[in-house]
This record gives sequence, C-alpha cells and structure tokens, in this order.
Amino acid sequence: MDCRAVEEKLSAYLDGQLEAKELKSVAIHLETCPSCRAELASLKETIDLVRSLEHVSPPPGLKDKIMGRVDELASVRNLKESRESRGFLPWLWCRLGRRPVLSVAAAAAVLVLALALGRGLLEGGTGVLRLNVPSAGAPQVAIDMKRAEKNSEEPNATSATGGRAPETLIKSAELGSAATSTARQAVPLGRKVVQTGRLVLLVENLDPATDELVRLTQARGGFIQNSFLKRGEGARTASYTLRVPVPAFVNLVQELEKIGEVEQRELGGQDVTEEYVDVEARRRNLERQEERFLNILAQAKTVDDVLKVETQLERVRGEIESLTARLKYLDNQVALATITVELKERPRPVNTVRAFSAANLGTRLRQAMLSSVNALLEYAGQVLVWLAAALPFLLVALVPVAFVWWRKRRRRNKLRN
Amino acid sequence: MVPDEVLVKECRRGSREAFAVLVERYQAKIYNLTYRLLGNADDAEELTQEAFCRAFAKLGEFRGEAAFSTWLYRIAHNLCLDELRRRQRRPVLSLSEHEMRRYLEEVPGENPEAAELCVRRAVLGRLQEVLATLPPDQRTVLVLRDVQDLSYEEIAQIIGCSLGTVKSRLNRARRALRDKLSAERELFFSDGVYSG
Ligand SMILES: [Zn+2]
Repeated sequence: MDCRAVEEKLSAYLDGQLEAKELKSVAIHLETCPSCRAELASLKETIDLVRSLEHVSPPPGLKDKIMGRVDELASVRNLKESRESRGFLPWLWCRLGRRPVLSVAAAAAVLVLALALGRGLLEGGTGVLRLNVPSAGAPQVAIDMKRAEKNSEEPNATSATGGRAPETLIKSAELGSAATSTARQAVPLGRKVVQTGRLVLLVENLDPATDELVRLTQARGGFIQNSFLKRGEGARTASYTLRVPVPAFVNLVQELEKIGEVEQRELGGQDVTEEYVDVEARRRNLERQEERFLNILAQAKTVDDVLKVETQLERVRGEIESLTARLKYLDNQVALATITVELKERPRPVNTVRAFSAANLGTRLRQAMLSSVNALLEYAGQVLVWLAAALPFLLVALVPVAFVWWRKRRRRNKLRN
Repeated sequence: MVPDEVLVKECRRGSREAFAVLVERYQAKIYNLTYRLLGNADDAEELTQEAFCRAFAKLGEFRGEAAFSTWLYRIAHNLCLDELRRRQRRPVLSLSEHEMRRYLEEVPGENPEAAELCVRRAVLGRLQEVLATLPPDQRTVLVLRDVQDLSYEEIAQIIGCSLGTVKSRLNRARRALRDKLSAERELFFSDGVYSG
C-alpha cells in the first residue's frame, strides 16, 4: 500500500472503522513511513481540537416556543382532519351547507329536472323532455277548488288559501279600521316583522282598475314586483304582487280596497326577529373565527401551514357571505311590505238577489273537498312515480361528485403515508 | 426512561405531552447541530424550532426504519442545508483573522486563568469560523461525527448516503480543516492555548 492509499484511510483508521485486513496493512505502513505518521498526528490534532468545542446550551424558553408552535399546528390539523376524514354523505352535506342558497337552488333544480326527466321518460316516450311538467298538476287542484267554490256560491269558504304568516295572521270578514289597526299594533317596537297582505277584489272592468292600482302604489312609494293576467270563461283575472315601504302599508291597503268590492282580505306579519338575531350571532361568531385564523396565518411559517389556514379562511368567509346575503334579504323583506292583489272582473251583472241555498250543501261541500283531496293524492303519487323513474339518472349524476370526494380522500391518505 | 418509540406512538395518538418529552430530550442536540452548522445562535434557534415543527407535522410519515433521533437529525440537517444554500447566494461576513488577533492582544493579563479561558474562547470562536468555510456537505459529516459523536451508520442514515461516502467525505473534511488550521498554526496549536 503506498502513501496515497494510506492517507485516504487515516481518518477511518482513527475512528476504528477499518476492516481487519486494511487495518493491518495501514499499521504496517505507518511503522515504516515517517511522513504518514506525521499526517496521522496532524489529523488527530485537528479532530481533538474539534472535539474540544464546548457543548452550547439552547436558549432558555426554546422548548416553550417549540410547543407553542406545535399547538398551533395541531389545532389547524384537527380542524382540517375533522372535515376531511368523513364519509361521502357527510362530506357532501358539509359542502352543500357551505353555500346554503346555492344548495337549495341546486336541489330545486335537481328535483325539477328529475320530475321532468321522470315524466318525460314515462309519458313523452322517446326522450322528449317537457320542462313545464311539475306545475301541470298543481293548477288542477286549484281549478277543482274554484269549481267547488262556484258550486257553493260562497266566496268566503275558500279564504284559507293564502295561509302563510303563521304568527300574527289576521283574517277579517268584517271590514273597517278595526282590523287594520290591529295589524298596525301587531308590530312591537324593535321586532323584525315581515308584513304581508292579500286582497281579492271584484271589479267591473279590469283595465281602469289596474291603472288605479298602479297609480296608488306608486303614489305610496311602492312598486309592482310581479303581475299575472289570466283570461278564463269570459271573465279576466289579474294578480299583482306589490312592494311598498312598511309605513305606507296599511294606508295603501285601505286605498286599494276602494278600487273594487273586497271579496277577501288577509293582513299578516311574520316575526323574523328570532331568525335575524340568530343569523347575526352566527355571523359575529364566524367573524371572530376569521380573525383568529388571520392571527394564525400571520404566524404561519411554512407554505403548508399557510395553505391549511387559508382553506379554513375560505370556508369561514363563504359562510359569512351567505349569512350576510340572508340578512340583506331579511332586511329587504322587513323594510318593504308585500301585498298581493287579485283583481277579478265580475262575470256578469247580477240583478236579482237569490236566497241562500242550503240544499245538498253538505254533499256539495264533501264532494268538493274529496275531489280536491283526490287530485292532490293523485298528483303526489304521480310525483313519486316520476322521481322513481328519474332515480337511476340522478345516481349517474352523483358519480362525478363521488369521484371528487374519492380523489380528495385518496390524496389525503397518500399524504399521510 | 420511556423509549422514543413509545413516545412517538403516544404522539400519533394525539398526546401533546409525549411530544413535549421528545422536545425536552432532543432540543439540546438539535440546537448544537444547527448551531455548529450555521454558526450563529439566532439561526440555530429558528431552525431548531422549525425542525421540531416539521417533525410534529410529519410524524405520520415516520415509519420507524431508523431511530426517531436519526429521523429528527435528518430533518434538521436538511433544513440547515437549505439555509446554507440560501446563504451562499448572500454570504455572511465573519471576523477576519486580523480582527481576531487584535482581539487576542487586548486580553487583560492580570488573572492568568481568566486570561487563558478568554483566549480559549476566542480560539474556539475562530475554529467555528474556520469550520464555516468548509463546504456544507463536509461540514455536516464533521459536525455529526466529531461534535455530535454519532456513528458512521447513523450519519449515513441522516444524510442519506452510503457508509463508504461517509468515510471518504469525513476524510476529506478533516484534511481540509487540518489544512485551513495549519495556516494559522501558532493560534490553534501553540502550547497553553489548546489543552488536549
Ligand atoms: Zn507513507
């Protein structure tokens, strides 16, 4: 072994890392070679010097700092994991829950599509889809009821139709300021109440009545949100949805009543204070969460942490956004009262006063009701059949969603391993 | 003493305390490694923290083929190499040899023991600086072997290479350091300054 080869091995020699054969040949060479011995000595000297470097003690409080950062990481991870390690349905539920308005719209769209699809498959034959389908059954019920109403010649018998506004619903058969002032008093200060009114008016001629309705509404600072005209059996019916600032609500109702003969009137208010307070509280809570995440984000050290925190932030902000939208909607509903006015043209002038006919009244009422119930049941059954027909397609539509879920899950597992 | 593997298992089950014990057990070792590799206390502290945070975050990936300490060293080592690579782009200025000598001459002479301690400190400070001029891969094996006193096998696992590479790299590092030190031979190896 020459000097060069020996020099290469001196470091390992000093550490006792040479195999027996190498060790022997290096030892033999060292005995005979002064220059390699000098090399060995200088190496040993160097190593000893390095080994004499004192042990530095870590700064006080290092452990606490480390554990502080570890706790932050753990809290972020817990949040993330609790969202990620779920099954498909909870995952889907949470995803949808994050955008409630959108989800409801999507669910409605899916339902409508499903019904259309189902009916198209069953009745349209060769895949011609008719999208107006779901509404087709509903008017039938209404028409049946109308017929019942006509038979009985008792307009007020169907006054339960508008039936919303559960809390302070005021139905009045007798007119006058008593009812309207009740409606006014029904709104305690500081409460959030959605005011609604419904009028059914009989008019001689629809056109001037409509003009008057528009004029009155605009004079009170309101507007017409929706209008609907229907021509049937010679007489025309028009229906308007008016929005008017709450202070003008009662006055406008009273003015509108003068357009024609009041056939039906409902004034009501739905107290949404509780929902409002609840939504506000949830939003405040989320805003605090957002703040906390921003704090954590400011302290995040690695890209990975930053990404984790930002996912959380994005979720919280999405929820805040949808709650804000809900509050805005409620504010709008509370600020503007909604009045539905139905103008009905009188079919023909009635010249004679007929006596109230009680003949067969029981039978007629029963028949009217039964036919309505039957129509309803039939429609409900039909809806179920359509849904069943569409179910396989819905399942197929779920496949891409399930695929997204599955990929997320797999990526997470991969990261873990 | 609870073995590392048991503590690691507890950590995976979510025990914060188990991880705190591991931090307690290894913070000094990791701090020393980072300190010797980086050469200053602030960076050493920062990277020690980062190393433990990474270890905590990646505990799920730790399969136990190597000892926990080796795995932890490996994380710290990689962080240090990243940091050193960053620094190569903007080198840190250190005391020049000239300044060093002036500092040595100013040492007060009244108390010989205190003076000697002072000189010894200065010499070891200078040694740290010379160490910092070695290429990072050489510095690493040298520190792991001669400062941290780890075995060749552990070093191979930490830096992720073969035993043969550890041997040859360590040899190169030691000889390079020897050459650098011999340029300032009377400072490092004169009598009375360096005592075995
Ligand atoms: Zn020789």
